[in-house]
Amino acid sequence: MLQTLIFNFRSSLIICSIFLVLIVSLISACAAVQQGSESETEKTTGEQLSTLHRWDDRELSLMKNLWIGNLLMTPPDSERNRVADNPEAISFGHKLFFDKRFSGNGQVACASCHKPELYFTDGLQMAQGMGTVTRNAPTIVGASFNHWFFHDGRADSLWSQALGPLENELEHGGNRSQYAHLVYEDAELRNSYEKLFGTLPDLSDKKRFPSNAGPVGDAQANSAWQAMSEMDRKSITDIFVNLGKVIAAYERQIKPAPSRFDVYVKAVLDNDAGAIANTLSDAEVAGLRLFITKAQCAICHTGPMFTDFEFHNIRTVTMPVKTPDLGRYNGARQVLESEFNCRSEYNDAADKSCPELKFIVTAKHDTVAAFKTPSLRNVSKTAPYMHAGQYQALSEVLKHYNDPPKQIIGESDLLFISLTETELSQLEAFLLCLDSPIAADPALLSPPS
Amino acid sequence: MRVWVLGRIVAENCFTDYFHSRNFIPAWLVLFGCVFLFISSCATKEHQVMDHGKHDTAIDKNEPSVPIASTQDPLLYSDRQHAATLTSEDGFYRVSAFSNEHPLPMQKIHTWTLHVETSEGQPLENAKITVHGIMPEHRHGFPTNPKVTEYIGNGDYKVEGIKFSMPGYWQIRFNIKETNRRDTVVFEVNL
Repeated sequence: MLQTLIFNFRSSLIICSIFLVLIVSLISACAAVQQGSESETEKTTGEQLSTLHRWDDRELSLMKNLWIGNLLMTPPDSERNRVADNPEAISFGHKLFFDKRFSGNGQVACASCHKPELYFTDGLQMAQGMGTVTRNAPTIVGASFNHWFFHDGRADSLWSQALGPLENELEHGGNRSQYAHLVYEDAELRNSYEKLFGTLPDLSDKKRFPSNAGPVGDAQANSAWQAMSEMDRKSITDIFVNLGKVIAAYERQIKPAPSRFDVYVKAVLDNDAGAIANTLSDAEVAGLRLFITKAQCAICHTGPMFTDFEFHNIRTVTMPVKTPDLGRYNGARQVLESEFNCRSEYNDAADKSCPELKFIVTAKHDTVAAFKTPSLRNVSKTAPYMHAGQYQALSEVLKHYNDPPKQIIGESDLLFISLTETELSQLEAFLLCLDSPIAADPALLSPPS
Repeated sequence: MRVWVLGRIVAENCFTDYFHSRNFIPAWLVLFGCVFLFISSCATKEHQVMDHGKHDTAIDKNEPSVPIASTQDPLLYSDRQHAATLTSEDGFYRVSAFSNEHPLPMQKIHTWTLHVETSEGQPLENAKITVHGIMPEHRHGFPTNPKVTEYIGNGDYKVEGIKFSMPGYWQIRFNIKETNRRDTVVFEVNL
């Protein structure tokens, strides 16, 4: 046997060498191909990135839940506002949004505190209308996806929210009769109104329809309102409600566009190796991972608008104050009593079951000093932060979560987290990935010509 | 070196005749061909999907690629046909629960039906039932106050006001009360 082998040794050696060379080159070729090959959840462009972009099923589920692809194309509850998506209402609402005449001193419009150039906020700690408001002005962008409005949710529709500031003495400081007369007497406004809602009633009799009357803080306007007949008050209120509905029609058009985070999620879902590697920096991806895991942000900042739209006490009432802001505790009561809520005659929907009101949470331990979770989309543009603008910088907000102040009032929903300085800066870097343009007709982003 | 020795032993045992004949070259070719094929199949073998997940939720809930295996699968709550039946904690009732909307919606109030039978298989009529939700990992419940609003008949109860605020592991607890006894059943769903 051995002799046979030795006799054919040279031939065998040549053949073995050829095969060895072939095998070795095949192995190295396959290794190279495998690194670039399609695999299910592990797109990599190198050993270092592979771990960074590796997501388990649960993390993927949370990312997909946050992705803007899940956002409804049309904001919900349009059936409650019969002009919600009407182009003429949008145009009329656009005009009203920027019209300063709708205020007690002729100086305050919606856009005064919701400035398009400041992402529809005002950059102030607390809003400044005719007086200083006790709360921070939230953004309009994407607001239509909420089902509760204001920080305490005291309005349950976008259109009824618009009516609040109009009659609030610290904000627009006007009253509904004033606004009705303004529309009645201005040819352009009257024309826009009547195209949508039919002919206005005759408001020329100032005895029946005083210039200033409404259920507002101003004593004179209030007593004038009480003196009006039920029917006449209804005529004025109907006009007032319709103005809110056209303002809401305009606001429904102002939504966030996709951000770099959304591009990244799409890349992961599509297994697009190039896009995965090049969309977010390493720090930003690390921040995303913290957001959906260790930092626990995605518990409340969930869904495509990065908010659960619900109310949480996160210890933002920090000073022992004489009259602490009770947030949702008062807001829940107010929305149930509101003349404009879902159960009112002003709800245009055929279905008046109003489930949000029917199953509203009102218990003290759930609502005291609880405020609505804001959207984090474009959060870099909505400073100052929290319901009373307590924090100027995002880093301060993150420190609040990482090292919360003492519980002054109510019961906190905060979970204990402990992030390092590096992790805090990664998380902040991720939040900046939520920047995006506004998805709206550009003409709507400035005053009408 | 070991491969060479192994190859030689295989060759000796399997191809002895060939090695002693003029056909030794094809024998070696066959041997190396097998080795070649073996290595190439290893190298291009599809990378196994590593199962990182602690939960077995399918991302695409509309078209599950695996049969319902987990008691937490949202599909179990999609309609009466799929609804799993649980026995209550003290054994008094057999209960199944399913949603009127499938897939289970996120951040939206929706209605469920609860079907309750006694352990003898009789529909339980007009019981007092309360419902509570919780995400144990996050210590919070539903953002709403759901209620059993109506006894529909045949052991069916209408449960309204359920709302899931976020994906993850939820428990839905039903407390069932008759005049002379009560019991509890907990459904788990992984959204």
